[in-house]
Amino acid sequence: MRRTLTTGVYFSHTANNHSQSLDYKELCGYLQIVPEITKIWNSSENPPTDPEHFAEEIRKNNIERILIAGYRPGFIKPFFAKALQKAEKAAENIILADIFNGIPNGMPLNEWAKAKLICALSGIPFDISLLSEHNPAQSETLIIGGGIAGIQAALEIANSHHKVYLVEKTGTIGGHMAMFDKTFPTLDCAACILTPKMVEVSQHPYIELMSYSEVKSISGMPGNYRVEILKKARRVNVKTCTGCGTCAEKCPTSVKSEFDQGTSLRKAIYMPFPQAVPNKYLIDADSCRYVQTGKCGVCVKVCPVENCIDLDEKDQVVEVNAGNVIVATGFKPFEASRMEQYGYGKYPNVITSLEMERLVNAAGPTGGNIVLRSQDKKGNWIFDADSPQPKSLALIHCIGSRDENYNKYCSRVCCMYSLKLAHLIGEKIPEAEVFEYYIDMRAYGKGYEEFYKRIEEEGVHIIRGKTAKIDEKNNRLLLRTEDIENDRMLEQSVDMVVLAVGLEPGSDTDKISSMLGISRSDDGWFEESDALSNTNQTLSGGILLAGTCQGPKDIPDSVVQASAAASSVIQSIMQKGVPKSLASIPLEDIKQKAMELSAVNKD
Amino acid sequence: MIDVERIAKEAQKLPHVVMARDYKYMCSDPGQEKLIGDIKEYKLNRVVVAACSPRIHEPTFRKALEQAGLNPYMFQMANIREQDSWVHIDSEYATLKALSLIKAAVSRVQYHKPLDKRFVEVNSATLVIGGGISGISAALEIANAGKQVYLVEKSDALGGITAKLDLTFPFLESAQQMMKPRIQQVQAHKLIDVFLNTTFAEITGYVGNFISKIRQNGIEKELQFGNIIVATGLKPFDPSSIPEYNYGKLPDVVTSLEIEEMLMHGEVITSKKKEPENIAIIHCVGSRNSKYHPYCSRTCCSTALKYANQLRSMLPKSNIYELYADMRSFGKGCEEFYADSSRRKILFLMFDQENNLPKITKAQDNDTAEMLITMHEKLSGEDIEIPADLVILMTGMEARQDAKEIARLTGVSLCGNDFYIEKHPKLDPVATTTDGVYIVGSCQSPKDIPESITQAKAAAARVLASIAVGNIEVEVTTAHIDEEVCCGCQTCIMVCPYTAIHFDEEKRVSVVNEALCKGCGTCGSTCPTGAIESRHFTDKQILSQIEGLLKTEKEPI
Amino acid sequence: MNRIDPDFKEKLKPFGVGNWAECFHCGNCTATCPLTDESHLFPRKGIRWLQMGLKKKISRNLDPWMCYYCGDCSETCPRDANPGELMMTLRRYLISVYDWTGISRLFYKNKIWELGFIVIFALLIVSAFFIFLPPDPAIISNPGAFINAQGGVMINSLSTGLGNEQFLRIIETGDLIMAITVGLLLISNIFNMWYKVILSDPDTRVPLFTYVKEFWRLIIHFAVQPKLSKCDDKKYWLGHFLLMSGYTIMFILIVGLLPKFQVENIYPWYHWQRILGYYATFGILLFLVNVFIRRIRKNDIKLQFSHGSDWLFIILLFLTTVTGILIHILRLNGNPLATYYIYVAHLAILVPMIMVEVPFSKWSHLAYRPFAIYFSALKKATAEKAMKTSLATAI
Repeated sequence: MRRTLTTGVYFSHTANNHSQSLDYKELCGYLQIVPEITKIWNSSENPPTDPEHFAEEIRKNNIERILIAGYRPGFIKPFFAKALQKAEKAAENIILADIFNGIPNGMPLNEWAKAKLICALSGIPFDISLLSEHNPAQSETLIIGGGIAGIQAALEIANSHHKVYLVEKTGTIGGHMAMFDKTFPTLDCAACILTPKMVEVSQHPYIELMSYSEVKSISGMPGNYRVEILKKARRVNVKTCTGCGTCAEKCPTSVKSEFDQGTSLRKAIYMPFPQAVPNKYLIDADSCRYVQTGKCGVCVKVCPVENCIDLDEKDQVVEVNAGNVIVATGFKPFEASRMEQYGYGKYPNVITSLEMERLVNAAGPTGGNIVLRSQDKKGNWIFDADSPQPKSLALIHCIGSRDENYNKYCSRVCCMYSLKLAHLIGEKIPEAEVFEYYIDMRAYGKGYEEFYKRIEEEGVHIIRGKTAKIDEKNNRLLLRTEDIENDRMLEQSVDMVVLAVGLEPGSDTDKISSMLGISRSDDGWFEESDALSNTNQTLSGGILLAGTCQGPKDIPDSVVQASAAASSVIQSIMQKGVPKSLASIPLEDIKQKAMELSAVNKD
Repeated sequence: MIDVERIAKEAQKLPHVVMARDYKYMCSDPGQEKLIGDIKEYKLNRVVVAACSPRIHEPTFRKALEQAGLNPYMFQMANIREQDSWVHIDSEYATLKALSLIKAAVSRVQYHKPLDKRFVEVNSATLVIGGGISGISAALEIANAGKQVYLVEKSDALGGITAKLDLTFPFLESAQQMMKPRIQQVQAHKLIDVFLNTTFAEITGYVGNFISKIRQNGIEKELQFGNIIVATGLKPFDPSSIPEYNYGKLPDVVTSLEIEEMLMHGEVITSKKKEPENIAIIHCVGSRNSKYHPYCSRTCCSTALKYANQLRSMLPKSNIYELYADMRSFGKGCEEFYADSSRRKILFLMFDQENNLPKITKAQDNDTAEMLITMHEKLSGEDIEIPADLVILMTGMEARQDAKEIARLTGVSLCGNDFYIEKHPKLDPVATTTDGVYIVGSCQSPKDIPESITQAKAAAARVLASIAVGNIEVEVTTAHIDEEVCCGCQTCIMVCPYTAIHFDEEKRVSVVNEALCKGCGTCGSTCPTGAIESRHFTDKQILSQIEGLLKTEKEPI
Repeated sequence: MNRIDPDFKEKLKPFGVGNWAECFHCGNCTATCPLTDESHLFPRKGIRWLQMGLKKKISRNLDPWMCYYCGDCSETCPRDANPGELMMTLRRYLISVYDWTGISRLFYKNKIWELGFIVIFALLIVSAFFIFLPPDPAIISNPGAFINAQGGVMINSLSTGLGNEQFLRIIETGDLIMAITVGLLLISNIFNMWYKVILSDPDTRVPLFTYVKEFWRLIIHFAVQPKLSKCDDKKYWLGHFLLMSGYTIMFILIVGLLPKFQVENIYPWYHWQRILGYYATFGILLFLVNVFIRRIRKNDIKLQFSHGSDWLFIILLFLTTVTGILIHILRLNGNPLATYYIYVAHLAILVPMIMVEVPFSKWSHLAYRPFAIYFSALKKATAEKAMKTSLATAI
């Protein structure tokens, strides 16, 4: 029988968004029920300063271990380790309880804190999957988002012969990865490695692909969710369409292509890109002349297949059951025009990295020919394959990232994809001078640092220093940068500038988070239940995160996380069932369970 | 680069060719539909596709053949991308070469024989090698799904490096509080058998049915399992090989793991039993430097920030310097962690980690500090001198020495830095080229705790899937021994890297275990009597392929 | 070999705020500033030296004087490190470095000293007036006697027992004494600056010829701040020019031409002196009102961290101007007694202001800026020369 150590509790008053509403006094009162607690410090002095004083009190109250409770208590742990050490006690005996971390909306803060304190005292991790009974899980899984993360998760689960509904809001799966030309650091073409997986998804007997659809509502409980899915009217029959493209040829209205980031035009009836899955056409109601004005219908006339196109098709709602839900809604690129100093939208040849991806892509608007923007007869700025190539280009890192005025966080991928773009530009225009302006080069992944070195050796000018502004001077772009390592000002004029835009939470993150009750970080990313040990579980049972919707990630990291989410799903189907949502578990039960378990552990 | 239309026309003229078609996205959905359509329409019985490397798309096209009701092995791929368009500059020659590659494929494919898929049952038990955070997470993930796990650990305790850590970045959560319950769970789990102090005598078998002899304090046991998860982790770099840092010579130069221990025990003092006033933390020790390791160890920057914050709490008055190269605090919350740290009286100084390392020397006796660090500070362009009483070396991660041994046993291959190579760096980072063997955690490349855990789960997903389905399709292009011709010399048995061949004492001939055979062809090429035929790589097929190659004009027409 | 000194930045606290610890050296500030060039890389370099505590570098550095604080750098700083305010802080610090008397350091470190100095000085002047130049009792009994033909107050005859010439002469001498003290202090500080920046710097030996050759810069940058006009916000230059020119005019009128300026009879409104006077007053007022509004609204990033000394300066200048205007109005209205009191008040504010601000505080920049530009030009020239010769010897 292991004896419980006499314990002192220190309440750290570090401020955060919840701390005002916490009643520390009440908590201290509550802790009286715990026999081993011999001392409670509830001073607002933060951080504590005098270890000798604490050492003294530790000796006086014969304290053998200390529980530090508050917001991010780890930041003052070393102080108490020192205090214990000075009092000749074992300094390892310190427990941390972050009583604010991951609290669900509307949860009574003090009760929540108590449960956390009890768990910490009993040495039980505050982990829903461990503390609660599980609901039996339905074997179907809903996956929201058809990017690489969604695709990977879907395949993993389907390969265990369990049914998957893959819901994608656009006309095709593939997400952002499909737009990329090559992928760092191995430079294999994104389409070459992605399209087989997309095809596999479309052919997989256990995957039901619902493209051009959105999740409308979710009800029910973990392990047995009822999902309403809005199937937007595609107006083209997926079963009969042959993808011949006659309709698009004849369609009178052209709009900017989403897939090409607006660098090219598509028709109102279109296929997002040649390898789209499903490889069928669809009609964009907003730009379709018939839908808007009631007059047109050319596509119907020219379509070789009998009633394949139905211009009057209406949206419909289907219902499915799902035991688990994997959220893989991805990201959206930072809106570059927000940083006026770079003149995106003002200067035609200041473009975003994603636009450059399309430009270098052999299937892109210019067939892979990197060219300057030129004006067509109507005066619109377009990318014309025959217009001149830029002879000098600059890439600027950290656009909207690592910036208190925009996004504080690092977007993780920009450094590497900028290096990659620099290489691709060199491949297409060997004589071009390429400049990279960066703050810290974050080449942290497997083979990344080596890639960085390689690009440097290829003769790309990689300069430490963030470009501050871009001006137009006799039709060239003038960049003003401090070349920090060479101690000089650089006024570099180039033909084209690529802005390495960061990642931001997807546009419908709000909707999804309120629908599924997933909490979000201050930056808006979906919050995992435990940043350290569980990056794809959420506080809502059976609702998992995969890919960039949880925070910026590169492709391998997204894929790994997607597989991990799949593992939780397969596990729940095979055996354990789905954990209840934390919000739905009575905190009393948690405390009860924690005490039982700790008793077990002591024997 | 290659005039595809032209070679399509040329190909049309080749013997046995019924039709040739030029299409841009053969690998895509419509491409495959076209292919299927053509097979049915023209009643094709063999197919050649000239496109990219078969490594990527052979499976895709084989699937298409199957859908068209053709045996998937009646197919040959001519790689006119990696072997041609990507490596040539003269488009005329490239086109010619493409043509000859296609001729080769065509003349080979006519000798292809149909081969039938084979499946093997999957043993539902799993072997996990390594008891660090990755191994533990993988084991729990699988066992919690109700499947047996054998967790084999070389040392005498579970937990690995993570068990040695005090706090974690960027939120300074307790590594111990995360680790201890997990270890308890593993030990208590009915479905996890833990083998400590255990090494491997051998691992034989194949995906779904591995057999292994393990040696635990002298005693040998046999284990049977269907999948292997390798989580052998990492080894911290030994800084004593870096002359500039005088590690081992100067008593107050310590490594990251050494400071971890000091912090955990609540006592950070110098060799003179004094609290250090000036503390320097040096990044990239053994990393990002061609003399030591060219790669970045991924976690050191954020870990260094962690130490700075811990030291700030324990020694509020001390001066803390971070000597860094590029601040790679990229993880969720890590950039914010960096920003907050800069507000906590921590001074960041930049050095050149490749060409100009800082030098640590003993200070004069009359100096206020114990040691002096001299360096060229890149952000100011000044040569500076930093007083230091304690220096922390952020030692990078490297592959363990026994990584090679495990690699040999499990048939995993190593990259230049001796980390294990994944099947595909982007889309398949946990699988390996050996079916049923997965790599997780820092043995694949440096990783932090959450990343290792996530990777462990990812591998578990594959394992669980294979168990759930219950069987796996295996290689069919195996070797076959003609008993009539075999002279029983057993050369093949010696050369077989997969120990797939054994000797039948009665018949006095070698016999191939087709479940083990990977069809590498080594035996076939060494067999003196030519008794061994590797399916799908018969002499006839290969010779005819070569003939095809040689048939082309070498000069532009 | 420079040894880094992390405590140095603490020493700079009294000179202003600025959380430059957060700077992660992206170089945005230096690059966004229209005034930086090859030879002047600021503010980032300054921040770096400060973080590292390279005291010599900082006290020798002239860059802070090149900055006119438009605030662009602080607005776009990705770490909210507020480099602009740092430049301001460094200017205050440098003023204290150049001032050999140590008084300005005293003033910056402790507002009480500055205030005390001003109050005492004001009292001295007031008492001096009431003892030596008290108001003539007749002002009350017979104000008419002090009104001139144009119906304005005869300003030099308000004191008892003295003829207006004498009165004027006393004031004039006082003026001169003030001007000379201030001048001497300022000049000695500039010498000190010259010593610290040029002489004590081993790598710059400036030949006399260069001093002469570059002298023109001093004049121009003193007269019309061409550098300031490079800032993106042109209004800023105009405002500053109005203030500065107005102030100089007033200074010349009062100190140089007092007998012509402070005369018994009132000139017609179109007289050049009155025109100049009006112009100056307008210039100063416009600037003040503008600054007041902005500092209170704090919408302009560079005015969010006003140092105590800034406020003091503005208030003193404002009071001086208002009293000046009042004197003018009261004279025109023929109100002798009030004129006298306000006149005393005017001097009681004006004199301490000049004594404090010009040699020891904010206003010293009127001299330091042009000299800094001059000196850095000298340094540059010498450096280039050295470069040439070394090349020559190499060849």
